Amino acid sequence: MAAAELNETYTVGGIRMARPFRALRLGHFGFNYMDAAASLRFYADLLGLSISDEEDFAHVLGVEGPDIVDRMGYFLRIGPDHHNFVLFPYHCFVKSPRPKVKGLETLSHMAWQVGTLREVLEGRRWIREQQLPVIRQGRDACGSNYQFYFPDPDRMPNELYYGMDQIGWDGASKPFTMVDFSGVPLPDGSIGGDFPDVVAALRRGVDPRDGLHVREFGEPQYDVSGVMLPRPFRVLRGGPVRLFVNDVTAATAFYRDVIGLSLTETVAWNGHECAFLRANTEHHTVALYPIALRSTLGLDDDNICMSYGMQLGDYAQLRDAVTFLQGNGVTIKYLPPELFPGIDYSAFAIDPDGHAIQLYYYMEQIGWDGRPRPAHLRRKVDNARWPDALDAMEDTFLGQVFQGPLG
Amino acid sequence: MATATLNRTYDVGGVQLERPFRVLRLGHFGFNVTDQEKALEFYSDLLGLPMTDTRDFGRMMNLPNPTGRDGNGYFLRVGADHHSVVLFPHWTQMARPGDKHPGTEWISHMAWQVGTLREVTEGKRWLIERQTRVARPGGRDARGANWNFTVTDADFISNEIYYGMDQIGWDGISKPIEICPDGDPLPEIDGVAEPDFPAAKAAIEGGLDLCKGLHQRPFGEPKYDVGGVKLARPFRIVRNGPIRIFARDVAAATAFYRDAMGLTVTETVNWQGHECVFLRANTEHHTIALYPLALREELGMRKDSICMAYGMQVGTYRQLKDAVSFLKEKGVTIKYLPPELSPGIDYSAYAIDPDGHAVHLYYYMEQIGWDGRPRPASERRKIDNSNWPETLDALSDTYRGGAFQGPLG
Repeated sequence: MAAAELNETYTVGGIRMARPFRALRLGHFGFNYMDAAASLRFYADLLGLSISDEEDFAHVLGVEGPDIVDRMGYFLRIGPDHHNFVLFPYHCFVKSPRPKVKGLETLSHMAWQVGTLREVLEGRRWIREQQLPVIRQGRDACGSNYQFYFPDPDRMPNELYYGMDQIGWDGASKPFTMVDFSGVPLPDGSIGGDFPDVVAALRRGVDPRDGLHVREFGEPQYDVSGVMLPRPFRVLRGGPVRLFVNDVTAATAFYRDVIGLSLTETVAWNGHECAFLRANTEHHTVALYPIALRSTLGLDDDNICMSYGMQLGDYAQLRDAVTFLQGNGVTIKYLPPELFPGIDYSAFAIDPDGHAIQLYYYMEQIGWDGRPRPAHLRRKVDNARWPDALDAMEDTFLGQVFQGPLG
Repeated sequence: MATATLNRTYDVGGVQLERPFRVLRLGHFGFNVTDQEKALEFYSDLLGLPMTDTRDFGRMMNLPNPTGRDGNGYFLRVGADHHSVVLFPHWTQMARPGDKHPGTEWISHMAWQVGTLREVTEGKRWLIERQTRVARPGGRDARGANWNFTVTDADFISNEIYYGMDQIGWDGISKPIEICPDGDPLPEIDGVAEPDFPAAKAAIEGGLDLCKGLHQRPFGEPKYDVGGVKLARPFRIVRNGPIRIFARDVAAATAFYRDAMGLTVTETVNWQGHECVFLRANTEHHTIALYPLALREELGMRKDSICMAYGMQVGTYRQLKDAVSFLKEKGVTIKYLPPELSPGIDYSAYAIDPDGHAVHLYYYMEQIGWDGRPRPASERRKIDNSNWPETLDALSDTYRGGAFQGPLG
């Protein structure tokens, strides 16, 4: 669908837009894991994400059998969002009737937050009108978000959601006694607010302590700018997602015209045309690379996810994270910085299943004028030699703010 | 302090900055109010800010209280931050020792978030070295658990720099009193604090009654459909700020917010001979706006306060229109000021609180990127406050900026 075909406008909260929703941010992303213990050690213990919930995915997917050792789905968070990252059991998924797509077996989905429930409901109708299949929909039991899923041209599931539970200082998610696991459908009309029901339940005696699922915190032995933590860094934000796609033009059209992202920049690298799109003020939220590039970069040739990003608090933390992870046996890779315009220094930590997590600290900020920093004004990155300290740029430390304490 | 005197840099997480901290955002703001219940009816019941906490300042300060006046301060939130707006009892705040400066007695403070505790401790040293006036020696707040240090600006308004505000989740629960900090001082330079969560977890697992931290006021009748969710009002506040100040000396105030706090000047506007300055902390066009004091009377704003307005961003343009109608229906005075005084915001209205302070309601904030370039005035929407359209075309940055993450209600 070309942008020119979007000749109708929709009113979103009094604003005429090309589609009846506005993706505000990438809310979460998920992998299917092979070994729960290994993945949780990597994402929770080493990277420091908190577990907010667990759900029996063998039950959700309707699979059983003696070969199912790991059956739980794990919901992890960076800040208050109930989940920014999910780990689902691969072995349950492959036994389930859900369609299998080569290159996506170990990928779960990526999720875009919108501002209202109506955007989800009208977005679902609009997506169907665009002849795209809605592959799942309803209210998530874990996180309480209202959502529906539809695939991109490479069949990567994209979720559009509203209303994720926020997790506070107590680390507790909704106790299971407050959660409807029966599969709540999307409503036809409007719904009541969630908070009045929550307060009523708490005053009836529901104990929020029953919603605590966190792992052991770990020994706080690193001074992270004044606070002792079990690792010398803190992940502050999730994203961007990098995908290897079969047709960059088609994928760009999907993320621009269907999801509604803005194309920030394209880069030709060794003859490969790559596209960078943003949801908000960050230079890019999703990056699209031709799949031919995958083998050139020496990445896992079994899946189309080049990496999922995790932004750390600062440059010193990034350097310390690399050392810490290498010291804990994690493979670190460096890729050509030209492939990541808008980010300067970064490194890729390889998870137990071969997925790459891009660690970085800086993201260029794009304003109303949509103008990225010209390449010649960007920092020149030499991955063989990271300096001890960097000069600030105009937008260092800017963008969406992590609000709470680091630990 | 002129920029030229900033002749050395400081390492903030491996990045060299002109000062040892980086303000990321305006976190909260506090008014001193004459009648807390009336103020709560306005800020919590009408505007919809959930109440997270209280603290009895009359008792804390051992003030004589023969008539049983309410000595509580009330903490309200917009999103997950423990507090975004604080309502302090005017009578207790006036009993605090120290000079009272005209125009500031109704303003408690404004608070700037930084990213780490060390930025607070090193920021304190740096600001003291520069002989910035210290308002509070710093420590850890008993409500919100934020580590902070407070200085005053050129007009004697308290500016807090803080790190590590408690986040409030789906349960609306703040820390029960048993685990609230109690007089914790700031660590020394290069000192460290223990992480917060292990102690909280131990208390929770040890049987702490979390529901003692629930302070929510009764919900109103959910009769308005806000984007598919029934709420007690036809809008949802999704962000707080900017703050607007009438400054006695705009140049001096600008120097403080630019050179001491480290904000960036986005734009200056000359309106009818009055030079006004707009500074930002992050990608929003402005986080604080400074106007000459002489403008206060011309605009018909409260005569005894130098706070022109505190901003509250609602979710959409539709919500803004509905908020104006709703508040008028509820007897709230709504004012419109010349839109040239709020560049970077298009349609907006000012709701006057029970003490006469203005809350600036708006839905759109221009976003500024790495190039620091604001949209030229000629390219901005032309606002006619006597004729707000039913709908508007989207701008390139409509609905951008920091996202409100949770459910609306």
